[in-house]
Amino acid sequence: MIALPTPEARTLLASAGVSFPGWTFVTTAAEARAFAGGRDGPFALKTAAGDVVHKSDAGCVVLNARGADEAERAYEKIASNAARAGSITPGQVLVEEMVAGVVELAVGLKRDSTFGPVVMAGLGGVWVEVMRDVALRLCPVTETEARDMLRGLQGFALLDGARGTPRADLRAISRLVAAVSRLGISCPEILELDLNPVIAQTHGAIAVDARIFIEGPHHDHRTDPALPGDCRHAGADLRR
Amino acid sequence: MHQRRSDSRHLDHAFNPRRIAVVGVSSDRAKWSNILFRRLLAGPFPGEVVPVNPARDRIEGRPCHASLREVPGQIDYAKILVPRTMTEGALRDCAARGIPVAHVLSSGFGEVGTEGQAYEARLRAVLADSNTAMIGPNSLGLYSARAGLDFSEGCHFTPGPITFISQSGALCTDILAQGQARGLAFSKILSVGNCTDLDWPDYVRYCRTDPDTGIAAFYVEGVRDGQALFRELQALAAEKPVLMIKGGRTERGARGVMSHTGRLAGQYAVWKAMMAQAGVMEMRDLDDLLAALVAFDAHLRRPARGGPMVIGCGGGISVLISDALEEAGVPIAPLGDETVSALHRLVPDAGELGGIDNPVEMPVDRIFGDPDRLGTLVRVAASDTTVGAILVHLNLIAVSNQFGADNLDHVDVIAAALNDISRETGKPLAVFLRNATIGAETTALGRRATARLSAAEGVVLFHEQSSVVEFLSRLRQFQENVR
Repeated sequence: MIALPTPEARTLLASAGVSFPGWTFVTTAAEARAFAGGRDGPFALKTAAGDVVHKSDAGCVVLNARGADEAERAYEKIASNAARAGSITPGQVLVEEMVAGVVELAVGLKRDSTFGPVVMAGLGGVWVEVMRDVALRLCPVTETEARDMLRGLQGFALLDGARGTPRADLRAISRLVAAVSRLGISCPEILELDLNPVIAQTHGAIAVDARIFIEGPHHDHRTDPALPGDCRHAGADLRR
Repeated sequence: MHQRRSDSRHLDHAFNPRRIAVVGVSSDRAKWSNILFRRLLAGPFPGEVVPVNPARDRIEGRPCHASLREVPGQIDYAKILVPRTMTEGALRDCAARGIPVAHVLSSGFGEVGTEGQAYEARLRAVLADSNTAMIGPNSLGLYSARAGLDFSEGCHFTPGPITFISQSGALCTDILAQGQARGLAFSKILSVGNCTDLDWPDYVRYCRTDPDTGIAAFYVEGVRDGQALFRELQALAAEKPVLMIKGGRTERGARGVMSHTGRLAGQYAVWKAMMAQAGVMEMRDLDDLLAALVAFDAHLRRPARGGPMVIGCGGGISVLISDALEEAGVPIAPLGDETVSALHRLVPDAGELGGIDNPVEMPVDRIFGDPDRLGTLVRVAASDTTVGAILVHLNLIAVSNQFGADNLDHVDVIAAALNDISRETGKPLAVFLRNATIGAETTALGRRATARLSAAEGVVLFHEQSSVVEFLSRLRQFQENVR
């Protein structure tokens, strides 16, 4: 099982209807500067090098960068830390707008040996990790079924405006869960998919981190896309 | 997979056969195959039963054939009991003759490891291009009320709406005996064994197409094609209530599944999600399943809607029952003002008793001393439209203290009153008989009350609070979901 590189994973998910924060993949400080200069921010920068395992520990993640100057400095720090961590592509960095929302969710896919693709949705952080408060369904699910999954969560009240907090956009979350579940059917190559966290907002739901695992062995995605067939029909250009 | 062979008509030949061949009948009366053969002969099955055994000319007075191929005339259902080494040959004969269903009871296949798996693979190969469908191997047999077929001594053949299909044979015998003892009536019971050919999707589909099946209950350990099972369960649950126990929920249980039917148990969290998604009611164990079947039976006989009306003697127990019902998601019925005033008129000193509402709680002499008063109270309360079931709790220690430990006549009076009440209200009536048994001793009052109340029309009798609550909770589910 290998991880699909971040840009490819995002492109595939975006084509399936999953929203991401404004983001770009850069290979120079100037590109990072140009992206940040034209937007409000703040920005998160992290290495996109596949060979840096513990990104935060290696100093390859910078949060809350504001403006073009800070983005440039952050890029240089990450690139040099990635090089020090032994990366062969230390200059590959992801720049994205940081988003705020009502609550964090985790949405994912896995493949069950008996029932095939299964979609998972839960509240993020401790809710998934400690409370195991997760709803599962066989793929695909409709938006209505996805909403039932959310309503079945113990922590549903947190999405539904508990203690006077704003209410999350259930429709957008349900749409995202349904979209992920359809990927489980249309892309049999996907073994596992994790969107964690997904930021639920009062209008919209945005995936901040995405990981897709496919069957090995490793391919060079520039020349030989690892996701053949159906997944390309989903509209993703994996040879960007 | 085998669309043709898994056609539900094939299974109909097993449940409603015209002429049965039993392959591998021993002439030794101590052997299971002989016992089973004699039971077929002695039972109510109206068709012919033909023994097959190359070593005998006659078995139990019937002309015996050397092989299936030599049996003249039509055979629509072959029971195969030969050792595993000879099963392949018997199956080949079924295929050659185009017998619609071969039911392999022989064991020693996938459930015993690699060598058995090889035998099992050969069975599959024999069937591949045939018009014969196979149940099993490693199956205990089947029960069919309509055909008068069974696998267990002492059962009756009164037909009913329940079909139970199980990956464990022993659970089939349990359900049949325990269910019939509780007044349940079955349509069909089938032990599916290793599901080498016909598999769960086929059995579930059969339950949907079978007009005699009104409710389907399954004990499942594993399945080859989970997605097909899901689709069939969803289709079935859209038409009929479906109850299901998943065996092998824990790691320990899952290991047992492998040696039981040679299947993988799969990840329970996904099974659980699948059942909910398909609209299947999940049962934890046999007790749970029986309680649900009893509730379904009560609902079929007396369709009603609403919460339970709780009536009896003893304040603490009324409180605990109310708590347990509330916690189980079955809140007691909120009686209307009119009903409450009517109850107060019946009990002029209600104020001194702390008021009368649901639950109705009164001293033992007041409520169980006068059958007419008991009847009137329950009738008035039960007529409230919010009431969907009645629960009477009866403490035999209080009855003994008040009316005498030897006063069996008074127990008869109470039971007769409850019988009348049950008939008049037309709503399900559960009786929670408390303290019939103290330690290991069942008291004289306890024996008498149990006997009388078990026989009372429409009364569902319980001896433990958890079972009553379970019953009322399942009943509520059926009331809300089954037309």
